[in-house]
Amino acid sequence: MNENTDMNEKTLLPEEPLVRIQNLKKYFKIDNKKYLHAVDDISLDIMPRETLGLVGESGCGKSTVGNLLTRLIPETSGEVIFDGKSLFQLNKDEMMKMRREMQMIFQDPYSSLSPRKTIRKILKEPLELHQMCDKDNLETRIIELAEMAGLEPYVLDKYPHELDGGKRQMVGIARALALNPRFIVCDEPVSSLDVSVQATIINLLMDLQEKMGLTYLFVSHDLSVVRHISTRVAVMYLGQIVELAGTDTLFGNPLHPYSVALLSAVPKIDFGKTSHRIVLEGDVPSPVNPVSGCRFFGRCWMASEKCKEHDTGLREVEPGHFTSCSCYDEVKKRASEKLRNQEKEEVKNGKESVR
Amino acid sequence: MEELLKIEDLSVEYRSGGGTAKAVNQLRLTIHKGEALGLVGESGAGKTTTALAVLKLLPDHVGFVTNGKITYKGESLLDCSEKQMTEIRGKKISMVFQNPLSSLNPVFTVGHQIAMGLRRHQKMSKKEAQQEAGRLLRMVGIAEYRLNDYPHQFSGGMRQRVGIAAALACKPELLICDEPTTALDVTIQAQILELMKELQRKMDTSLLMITHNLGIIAELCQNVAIMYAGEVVEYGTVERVFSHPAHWYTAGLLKAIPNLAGPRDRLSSIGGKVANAYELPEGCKFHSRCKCCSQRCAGEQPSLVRIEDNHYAACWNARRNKNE
Repeated sequence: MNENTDMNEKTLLPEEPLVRIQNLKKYFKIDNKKYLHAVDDISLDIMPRETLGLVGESGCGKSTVGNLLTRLIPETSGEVIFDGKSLFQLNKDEMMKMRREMQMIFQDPYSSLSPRKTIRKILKEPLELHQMCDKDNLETRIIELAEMAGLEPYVLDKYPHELDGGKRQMVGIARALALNPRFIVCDEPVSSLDVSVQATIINLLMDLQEKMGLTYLFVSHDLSVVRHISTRVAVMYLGQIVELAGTDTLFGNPLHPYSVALLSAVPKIDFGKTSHRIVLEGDVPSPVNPVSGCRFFGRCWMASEKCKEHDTGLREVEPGHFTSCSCYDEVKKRASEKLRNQEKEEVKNGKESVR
Repeated sequence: MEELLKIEDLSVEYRSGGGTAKAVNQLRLTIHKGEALGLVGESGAGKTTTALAVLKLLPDHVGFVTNGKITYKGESLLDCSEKQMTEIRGKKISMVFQNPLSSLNPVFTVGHQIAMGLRRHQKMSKKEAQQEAGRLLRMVGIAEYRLNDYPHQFSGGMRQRVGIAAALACKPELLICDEPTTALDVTIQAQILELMKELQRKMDTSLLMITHNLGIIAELCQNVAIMYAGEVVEYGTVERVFSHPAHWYTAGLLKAIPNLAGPRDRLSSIGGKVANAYELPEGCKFHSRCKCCSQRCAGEQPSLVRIEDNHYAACWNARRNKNE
């Protein structure tokens, strides 16, 4: 166990990314002419020891990215380079070895654990499969894993259905840790849990990261959870990344109209202020044969004619801050204008705020 | 303000082969005309059960009201016959359910389902009802031509809006919303919240909002009741309860939620497990998980006491001082 990892190491982030995603695409075939563009040309670096948050609405392709990185589904095109090695070139044996380095924690702790196995057996399986541990040390290692994930040893003899959601998710985490991975894809690990349990799991994930020097890709639709846990955040819309920045930058100074709307949509506990928000009309359009030009055009509250044809792609507009909006420099101004107008209109109509 | 719905000492049990689960215990709540009340709690706290008991929709032969009174404008709902209840459901009290997929009937068009209540309660002709259904659909932001579509042809957010349109069809005085946005994305949730705010303003509908999302409560409601193990442990104005929680459970809940603004401190979680409804502990139901548990808590059950005006908590060691 790499428990005495030097804290200083954490501040000195190495230049080389641990995971490098290049022009990754995943199209699902619907019929001869129709393709569902689940992930459409995304490029992304994940640095060692960071937590990259991936947010977006349902159907935007964020889980597909996680599944592609762990090679649970085949890619359409593009490349993922993990620690210098191209993942999609590896054969079966090499991939098997690679899986020790990358693990996954799933959203639903009910369906991701086999109901027919005890927790001990669930944790034993990866250790035996990858011959990570000789027989004599197996039991010690299993207990160690359980402890790391905050489980008491008596849990080991139980079956998944005997545990509550939080405990089950801890089993999922213990299983992911079994092979000493460096990289873990967390696919909505807390969204099926109650708030008090959610806090326990978030704290656990953050502690483990510090202790073991883990790198996370944290996929979630819950913006406040993502803000809490992430170093950097990528916002996805219809299979593309529309904005990427450090957490505080993204939440403090979003430079894409979609990020702005997403942030303003979250209900806040904020008294004294009348809350106004930018409400997006309609639903997310279908990712089947999407239109050219900016994908967000149909729902954008600041779209102009030129956005319809012109898609600028993701580009760096400030150091470390990427956006795909061609009018990114106007976002802030237009957003405050829009909110001011809303307020004026409300006063004019003589409407009173609910509170 | 006029009292609309009054729940007094309500207890509900679920009986099955495995034992008796005490889902709601001695619950007291009042909703006034035009008021929006939030009901907060973790899963298994008895929020939905309370709502179902009000509408007498508890599952037959399993769910039983064992004690208490529910009065709607002075009329006792528990004494109503099924026929009388049919006149109340949808007309005076409506409900929006959590799962928009399973609460709509897949074999009827949405227009038919919205018009159903109108035809029954308002005695409208088929044509009138269809017209009115079209107007309601427009109100929730769906084009009228979709009246003849079936639920599966709509997305999740639109289905929930259909559910809301149906619930509002007969202009009920009280709307019970059971986690109406939990299954939805944030941008769609925002649309629904704005719609509800508008309804409150325009139609003066009273609202019982059941959710575990404290942000929604803060935006929509004036008062909030926090539930734990089938009991209301704290009640008060939203602002007061959220800024100066008196019960330790409320305080813990508020600290466990990650924020969108402010410092990113470590989250404090509430240790232990939610009380088991099959074997409820003695005394305060929360005492085994409470940070501030005293001897008295384990033996004696606290009742709701006044902390100050419009703020009540059921705790022997209530946080009266905000600096605690």
